Amino acid sequence: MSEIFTSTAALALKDTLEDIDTDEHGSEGSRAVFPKWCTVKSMGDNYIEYYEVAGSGLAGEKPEGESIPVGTIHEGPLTRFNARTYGQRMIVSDEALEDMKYDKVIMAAKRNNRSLWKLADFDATLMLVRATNTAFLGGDGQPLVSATHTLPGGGTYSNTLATAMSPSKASLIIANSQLMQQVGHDGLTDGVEAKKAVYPTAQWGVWREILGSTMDPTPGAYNAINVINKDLNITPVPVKYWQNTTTNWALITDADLGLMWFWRRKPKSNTWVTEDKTMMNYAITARWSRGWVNARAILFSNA
Amino acid sequence: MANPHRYGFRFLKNRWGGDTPETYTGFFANAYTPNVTGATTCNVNIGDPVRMMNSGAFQLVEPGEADDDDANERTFGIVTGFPQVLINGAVRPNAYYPTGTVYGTNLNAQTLVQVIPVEGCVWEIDTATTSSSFDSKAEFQAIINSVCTFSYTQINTTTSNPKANPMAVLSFDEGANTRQLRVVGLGRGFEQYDLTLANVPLQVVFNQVQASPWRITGTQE
Repeated sequence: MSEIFTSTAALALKDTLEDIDTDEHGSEGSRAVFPKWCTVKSMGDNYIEYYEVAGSGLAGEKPEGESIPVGTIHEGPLTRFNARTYGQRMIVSDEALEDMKYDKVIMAAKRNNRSLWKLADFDATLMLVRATNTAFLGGDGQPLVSATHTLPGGGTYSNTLATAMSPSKASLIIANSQLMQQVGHDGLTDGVEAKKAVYPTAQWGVWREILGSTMDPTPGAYNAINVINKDLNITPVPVKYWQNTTTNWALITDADLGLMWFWRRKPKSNTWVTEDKTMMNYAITARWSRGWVNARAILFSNA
Repeated sequence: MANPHRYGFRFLKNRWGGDTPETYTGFFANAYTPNVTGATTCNVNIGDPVRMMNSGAFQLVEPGEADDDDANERTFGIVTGFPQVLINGAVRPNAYYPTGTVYGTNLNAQTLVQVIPVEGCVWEIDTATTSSSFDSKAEFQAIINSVCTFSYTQINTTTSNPKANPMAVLSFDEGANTRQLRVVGLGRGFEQYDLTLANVPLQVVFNQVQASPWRITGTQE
């Protein structure tokens, strides 16, 4: 269960098979889902940090002859991203490499590639899976999704629907209304814009209707315009790895420093031979970190 | 994610480094028919635990029981290949041992099996069942350095290759003074697993091993 010998896939030792039935390998990087909903960046150090600073609030009236009101700034939390290393290796005997008649049987490098990119996608999706899990906190001491994210100057803001709703035109109107009044770091109403909808694949049909219908998709209201389609520009991103729910969904906004993925080192392959056993080792490793700084980047429906 | 099952004991690392585990090539007895609790009509597959008999042949290890130390619960190694099996009248490598393979007295056609001796190696094994006592990372971390047994839950019973399917019993310590395995960590990809389901990977080492170089008297199987 560890090394690959001639016996591991013995039926491929003779050229008698029409084809090999196996997973498709090798192009997982180009088909990864997480770059569609995370901002992909790189990091140059072992860890990187983001520091939140809130501005000065509202200016005030200056009565004639009095001093101009004084503003200040407030320190928020520090968010640190630590690079972690992930990888896999496969060990194949010389005999198996020489005797296997079909490229698709071993293809150790391609199988490693699939394993690592799948892990990357699953790892990124953990941010959605654990969005409301209080065991996995961001820099402000709250999970990604919370009704009580902290503001540096005091007070809180929410990035979750007050009442969870299934996806519909009505729920999107409520969600967008909430986003239009989202507060900035200083607690002042700022507004952010919905850019993407992320959801488990079970919701693909309803999202296609909500985002794609020219007219109102609500039964009995077909002569009204669909404001979601007409006025908003939301890109649907079904996340097939999001499997702990079929009812939750979220909107990704244009807020800066939201859900981010940092490559410390992109996937790198190595091969070497264990000389005394004439066994070939195929390895792949990568280093990354992922998370968020600004939770305004998401509005979540925790249904 | 629905937890994918990765079969059997998987070599993870050697405690003293080294990139490739050492293997040992032995044999199965003529017409050996695996038959242990939970795996009564199965083949032997890569990833199964085997023990060495007085005859020199290997056999599937018996699943563990609490509070005893039967010799047949001790593991010599984990199967990693079958370089020679008599198939359709002639020998060749095979991915599994077909139960009851007869080679008679012709030792040139003897069933050969490669095993990785378990001592010194860390292995990965999936959990067999679910439990509300073990459905969070903290609960699984708390069982590191606990002991447990493995059992068999036979799979593929209707195909040509029924597998014994050894898995870790989701029961730890519980008053037993001898158990086959010791948990030493969480398996790879642990974070991605649904901990409320079975097939959660654990890192284990073997407590009950056939590692003694001495044979004193009688049955040491």
